[in-house]
Amino acid sequence: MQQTRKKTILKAAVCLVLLAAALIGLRNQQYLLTLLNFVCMYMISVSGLDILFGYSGQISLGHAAFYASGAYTSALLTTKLGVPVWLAIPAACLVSLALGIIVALPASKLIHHFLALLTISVGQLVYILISRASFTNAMTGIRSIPNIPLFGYELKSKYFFLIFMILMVALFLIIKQCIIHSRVGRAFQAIRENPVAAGGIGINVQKYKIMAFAISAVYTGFAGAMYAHFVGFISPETFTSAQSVMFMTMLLFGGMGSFSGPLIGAAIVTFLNETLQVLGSYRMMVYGAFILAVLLFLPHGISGLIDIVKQSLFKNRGKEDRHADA
Amino acid sequence: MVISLIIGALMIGSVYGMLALGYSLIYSASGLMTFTQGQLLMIGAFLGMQFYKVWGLPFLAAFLLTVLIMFLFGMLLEKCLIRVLLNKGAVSIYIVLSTIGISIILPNLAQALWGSQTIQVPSIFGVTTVKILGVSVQPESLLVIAVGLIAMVLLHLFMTKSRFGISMRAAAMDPLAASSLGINVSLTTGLTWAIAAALAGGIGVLLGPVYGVSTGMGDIIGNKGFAGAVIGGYGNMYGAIAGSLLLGFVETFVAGYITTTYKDFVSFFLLIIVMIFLPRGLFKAKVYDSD
Amino acid sequence: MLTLDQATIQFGGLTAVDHVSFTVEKGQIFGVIGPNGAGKTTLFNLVSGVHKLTSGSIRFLDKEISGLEPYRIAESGIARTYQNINLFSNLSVLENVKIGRHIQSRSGLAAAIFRTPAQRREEAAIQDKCMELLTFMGLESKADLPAKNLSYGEQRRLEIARAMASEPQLLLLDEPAAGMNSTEKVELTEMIRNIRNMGITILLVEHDMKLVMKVTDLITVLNFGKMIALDTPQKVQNNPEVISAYLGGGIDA
Repeated sequence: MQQTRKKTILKAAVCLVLLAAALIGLRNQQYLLTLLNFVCMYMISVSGLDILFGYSGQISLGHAAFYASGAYTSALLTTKLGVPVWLAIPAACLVSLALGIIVALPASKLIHHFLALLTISVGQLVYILISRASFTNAMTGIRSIPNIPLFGYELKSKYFFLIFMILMVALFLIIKQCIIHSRVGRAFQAIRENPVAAGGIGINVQKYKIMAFAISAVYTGFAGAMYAHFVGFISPETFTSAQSVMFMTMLLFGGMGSFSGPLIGAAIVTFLNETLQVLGSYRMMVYGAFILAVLLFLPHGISGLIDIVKQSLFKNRGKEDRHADA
Repeated sequence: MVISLIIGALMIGSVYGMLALGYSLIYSASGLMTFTQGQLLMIGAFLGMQFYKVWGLPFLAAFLLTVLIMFLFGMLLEKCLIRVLLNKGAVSIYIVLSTIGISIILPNLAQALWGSQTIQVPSIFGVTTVKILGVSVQPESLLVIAVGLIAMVLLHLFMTKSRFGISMRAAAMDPLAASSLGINVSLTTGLTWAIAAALAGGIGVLLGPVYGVSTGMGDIIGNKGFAGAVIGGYGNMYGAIAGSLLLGFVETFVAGYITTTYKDFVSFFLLIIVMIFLPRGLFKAKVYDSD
Repeated sequence: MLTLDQATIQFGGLTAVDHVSFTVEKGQIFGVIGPNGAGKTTLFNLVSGVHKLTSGSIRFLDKEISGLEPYRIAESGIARTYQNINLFSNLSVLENVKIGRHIQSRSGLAAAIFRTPAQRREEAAIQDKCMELLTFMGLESKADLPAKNLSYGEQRRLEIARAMASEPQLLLLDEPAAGMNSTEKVELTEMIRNIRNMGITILLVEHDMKLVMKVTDLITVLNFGKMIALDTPQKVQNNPEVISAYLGGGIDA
């Protein structure tokens, strides 16, 4: 036990040093910095989806709705009502939380195909709302969203925004791990594995399903708020069902029900997405192909593949928490 | 106004109904769900356009050829993807995800073959409107309704009278018992995917002259068809049609009298309301986790 | 402790459990036997809340429990195992038992996020208690394996361990010996007695007659959903109606 802890600390230290070195090297790479900021947002958002789908077994194909609720709440509060950014972000999380609970109330009773449909519909509803309503400026979107102020400075440079985002990713990941390895996290996994047995042992299945939905919505809502403040401009095009599919692709590709899966998935898919810009709208085809390839050949995603390689290299039993069903 | 709205509602309801029938067939035969129906409709529309407009085949020939191709395509989809995943022991949500993967790929495939512009298809009848009870109606809308009606009757006869249809229903009720009675379960489920694809593709061909053909035409329609199936009671053939017609009427009349901007909002809202308060639909379906 | 009064459930036209009444006293090992399809598992599903009664009542510790959600019934002190094993199969053996501690622990979401001292103490206590239970069931060496990697007999023992983790007052065992070899059955008999000696009342459905006759204090016999006998093991064995029921339904014991 003591030794694994030392190992973890050592690993974390190595990662930190590498990260710092990379950050210094990237100081002036504006394009890469932009991408990395997006990667961080997706990492948070997809980790949220992982809590929902990877750990509690509830699918969502409408997570763009929560991304939108976070982005629009923060953007509207800061631009139209002049609310300070540091109040708008928690408000964005709260609105996403509320939306999560509202969706989860009926969703927690449905079996997964219907859940898929319900979440798709919610995604559509939110998209239609933000793209038609006048208070969201319809298709024009919202401009001049203020940046995040920190200690009197605004995080105007992408470089400092990235450092801030990395800290946020770390925070949200730590929270995720704390939840997963607690009584609440065990209840989530019990429900994913076997809802009947979970109820039989005293877990209030509906309550925990709603809780997972709410947590997931907060993660994605926060990521959405970060997106709004980073880019400074939002419009409905960002929050289509394609965005929801992208979140799901990242999760599947990285590997669900794991610590590293969402991180790997968010990073790889974002960069692939950029390299595939030349393909224009054919990029979506690559998502589709990704999904099929993962389902057919890589049921545990890339992180599952890494585990298999590790295991065959070291020949010791992996103790990673990996449970995604194939 | 009312009459043209009714005809419009019947037409779009029939379109949803054809898709909903496919969803319901697949679900009742194998307990699986698909999200590709809308994209299959789109592919059907493009194929029909290719045969009818580009190659100059008679419309009937273009229609039948498309239906045949889509039938085979559905069978192929089941054999090469769904069956493979099932044999790997994939849980049902993975099947859903795989059909979503397909539904992302198909529009891009269509775009590669036919481009991203909406393509207009010439009228089938040579006249643009006919008068019914004093209102001008596009004859193609009437054709959609007629074909929808015929397909429903044929499917009903097929499921209740033919040996194949009966064994299909048996396979749906109890796959194990059915296979022990010598019914080829794999073949019958393959057939449901094929019929679903043929229905979607066939209605797609008919929609070409009405709306034009574009890669995105199936996205919303596909979800609406699904909504129709859910509203009617998922897995119930007759419910699927009833639910789809209801949805067609609600949305047409909302668009006609209240708001066109939020027309789609109203249909999805209706769907969500049904899922919350009447989750088994108008005709009972299994939707709860604990059943 | 547990009282069924005219408990009845119908599925469609079929009456699966038909006006069954009996009382299980505290500290008893109470057996339920009967030919296949007699309604034994349905009876269990009624007590544990999976199915709802059509008519009649089920009282536990003087409280009506029929109609409650399964998790409520578990909270009131009834735990169960399943005939066709219902483990959390991709989770480790230890995690399975830890989930069994759910109703015996309190820490919520906030405590988990902030890792409060109380939450950490509770986690440590859960860990100790669960390892103790695994040792009791002879599974301590398998604690870190996924539950699905266990043998059939081990999985059945794990289900018992998980149920025990919730510290129930009444334990429902649904065919715990199914799929076990004779050595395992002997061990199981011993375990069931030990569990009773810890003060836990046991309701047991079992096909293995030898085991049932050995451990139970009282047996009720079901046939086509109806109760045809309620007696001690010796008397039940010699009851002509029971014998004919088994002959008619085919002896599987």
